[in-house]
Amino acid sequence: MRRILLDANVIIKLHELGVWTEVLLHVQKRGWRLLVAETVVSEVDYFRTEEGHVPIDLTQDFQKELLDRFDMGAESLRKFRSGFDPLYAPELDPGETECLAFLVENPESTLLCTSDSAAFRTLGLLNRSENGISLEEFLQQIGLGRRLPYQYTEKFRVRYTHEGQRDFLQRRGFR
Amino acid sequence: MSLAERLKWAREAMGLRLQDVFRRTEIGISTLSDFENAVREPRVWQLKRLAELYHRPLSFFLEEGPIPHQPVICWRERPSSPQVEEIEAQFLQLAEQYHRLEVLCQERQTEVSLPDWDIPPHEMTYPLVQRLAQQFRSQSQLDSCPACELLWVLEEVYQVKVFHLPFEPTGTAACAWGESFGPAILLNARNVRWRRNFDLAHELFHLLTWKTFRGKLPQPGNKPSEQEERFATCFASNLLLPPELLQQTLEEEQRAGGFTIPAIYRIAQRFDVSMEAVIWQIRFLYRMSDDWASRCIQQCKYLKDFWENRASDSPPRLPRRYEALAQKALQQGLISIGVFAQYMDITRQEALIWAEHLAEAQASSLEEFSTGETNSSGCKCDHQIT
Repeated sequence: MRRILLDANVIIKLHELGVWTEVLLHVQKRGWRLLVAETVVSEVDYFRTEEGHVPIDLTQDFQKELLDRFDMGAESLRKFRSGFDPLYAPELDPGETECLAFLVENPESTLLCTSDSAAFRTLGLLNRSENGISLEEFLQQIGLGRRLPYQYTEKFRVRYTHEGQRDFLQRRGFR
Repeated sequence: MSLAERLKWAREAMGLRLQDVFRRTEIGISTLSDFENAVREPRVWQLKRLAELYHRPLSFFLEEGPIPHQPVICWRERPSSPQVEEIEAQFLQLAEQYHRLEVLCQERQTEVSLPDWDIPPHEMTYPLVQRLAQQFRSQSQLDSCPACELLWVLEEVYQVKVFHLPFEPTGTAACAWGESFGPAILLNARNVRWRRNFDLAHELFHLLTWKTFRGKLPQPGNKPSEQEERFATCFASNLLLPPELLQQTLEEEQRAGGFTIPAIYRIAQRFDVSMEAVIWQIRFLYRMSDDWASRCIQQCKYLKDFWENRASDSPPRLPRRYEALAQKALQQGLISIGVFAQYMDITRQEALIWAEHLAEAQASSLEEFSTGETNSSGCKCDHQIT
């Protein structure tokens, strides 16, 4: 079973695009699971529309088991971060760090869907480029493909993953 | 130092009790106590809330070993507790973030640094302070209106990190010298520009004489003496109101109609300082009495509302260079969108818009280069070097 970790930016964008509910149903149909880190839940408070700000509430989706939530302890985070050079590795926010720490502990069939250059770069640095997926690719795979801004494209993911891979090969960003 | 010890240390450094933390994070008191006594391990979302409240990066709590030496903050007048702990934590956090951006973007310039006037305190005199002001002015090429250029020169040439935060009392400002981030100044965003200009010059004196008055390893809590404060005021006056320029301007005013309150206002406007600053500098240059200065200031106060029609501005909370570095770091994938939001003090949604715009701009510039089309100058893009 495939597990997709969603970061805050992607959740906000899917709400903005008006396809959030559709995505949940399409993923369920395929027997995949969508996972959201507890830290990320607190980071997605609203999305913007032409009428103004609309609050994002994932409670119902968790109750209907369309989404799974997980959280990590501080020790797991410490372990995850301990391999990086704090000066030169990309600086991630707690939500992304929690997602990546989870992914490193559970790499089998787990993908991180993000639009964050620093997250893709870190995946490259961890030599786990195959565990990253762009929003463009994800939507295409569940049959909801559409044209998206550059930041959500496969091209964007490849570009920053390569940057991280280059650092990995040059051993930059490690302790 | 363990995570539990660091949590307790950070809370106490902010002057907060467990119930204060509970009120602001909604994490129960017994849970907080368990964290600090290493009975229970915090979850990441809980640690994030605590890190935000304590103005520390998450990494601070995950490090091992002793806590690094905390930079001393030199206040003109220390605000009261617990407000001061909050402001100090914000100030140091901003300075550390600025330093972090410089390191990530590899833009730490160290060729030009602030002069280091390691003068023994007993040798410091007013004539020497006046000479030091003149020396700094000429070395930094501050011309006819030093106040108009000082902020830019400090930020861009000497890499001093200058922040503006609102706090009380308004009559105070602060500076610090961090082992990592170097010299930094905190100004009060609630003050008008000409007042902030004077505060900037005043704090600059403390930085230039850091070794003289604070020693090489300063201990927290060492407040500047009254004498040091008077030297700092003398330095600021002489830096922003150079005696030779002020005398020349005064002579022009005398010829035009005499020395009046409107004349003081015009001089203050020309040098972008307060009327009080002009009066005190005239008092020292012409050896007038304190009584004369006080009377002038009183008269100015009555007429201030009428004469003081200069337009002030809201200072930028963050330095321009800091913002540029944050954008560069985001664009290069060196910081995540969430970190960008925190560094720029904006919401994640706002940061997301920034990220989309920066990515689009990058994509379009990449396309321009990849098309390989040449313009009339033979350049493979629309941008010509002029």
